[in-house]
Amino acid sequence: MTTMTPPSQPISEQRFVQVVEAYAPRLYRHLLRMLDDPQDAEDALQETFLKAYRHLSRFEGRAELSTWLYRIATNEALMHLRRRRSTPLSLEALSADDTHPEEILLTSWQVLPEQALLSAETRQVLEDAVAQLSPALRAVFLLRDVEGFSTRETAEILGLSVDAVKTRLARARLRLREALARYFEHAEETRP
Amino acid sequence: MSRTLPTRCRRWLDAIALYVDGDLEADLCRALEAHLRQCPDCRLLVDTTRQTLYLYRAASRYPVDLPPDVHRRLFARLPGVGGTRSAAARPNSEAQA
Repeated sequence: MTTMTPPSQPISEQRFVQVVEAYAPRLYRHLLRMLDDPQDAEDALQETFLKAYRHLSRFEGRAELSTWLYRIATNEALMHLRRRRSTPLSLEALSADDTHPEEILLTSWQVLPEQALLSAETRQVLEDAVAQLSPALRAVFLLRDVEGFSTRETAEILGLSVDAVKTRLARARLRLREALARYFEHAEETRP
Repeated sequence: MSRTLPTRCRRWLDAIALYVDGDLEADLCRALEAHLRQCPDCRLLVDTTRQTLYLYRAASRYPVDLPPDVHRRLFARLPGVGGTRSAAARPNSEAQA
């Protein structure tokens, strides 16, 4: 573990504490979904705030604080995922990002009540489906559709073009819909 | 037997996925809506993709607890920072640490 040197320009200690307390829960939740591992999520959270502390004096006023913090946090998560992977991505895995599912199941699950939709089991299915996305698709989906950033903000956070964000967003949304369609179809078949 | 989207409709997949939350350009939007008026399969796909987003947004409102003592571990790496935290802002386990 390293100890961070204070920034060259003094910042308000109270200000930084406020930033940590305001953003730690949101950023931890985002990192947990990105990394699917509590210890890795905490490590990435710590690194995010250490980097934010080092650069906060240079940041102030240049952009939205939340966008800036999510950019640092998402980059930390992607670095963790790169380190976690022992072998390079196969060509098949890379090209899978450019395609939609081979079959799009036409299952309707609108008849299920909301309580059933948000059972612990269903929430686990939602989390598992996100974890199955590639990191590139997962980051776009979580920032745009779960954290609520605009498409333009998501592009800014990830350093992508708006068109690239839209392409990844479409693939991510349809893959998740497909995972839920298969889950709800199975649930409907096995219902007593 | 599960039904799947007909091959002829796969060209609308990207448009549908972006249409559900207002990310589709106006001209493509008009073209897709014309197709949706005559295609129940694609209408079902729009509905269930919207429900997918709804479910993820609803699930995201469930709170996620921070690990115990996470602030203390962070501030331990930042000398001089964290001493000004209010007792009210600290969880019990951290306040007692």
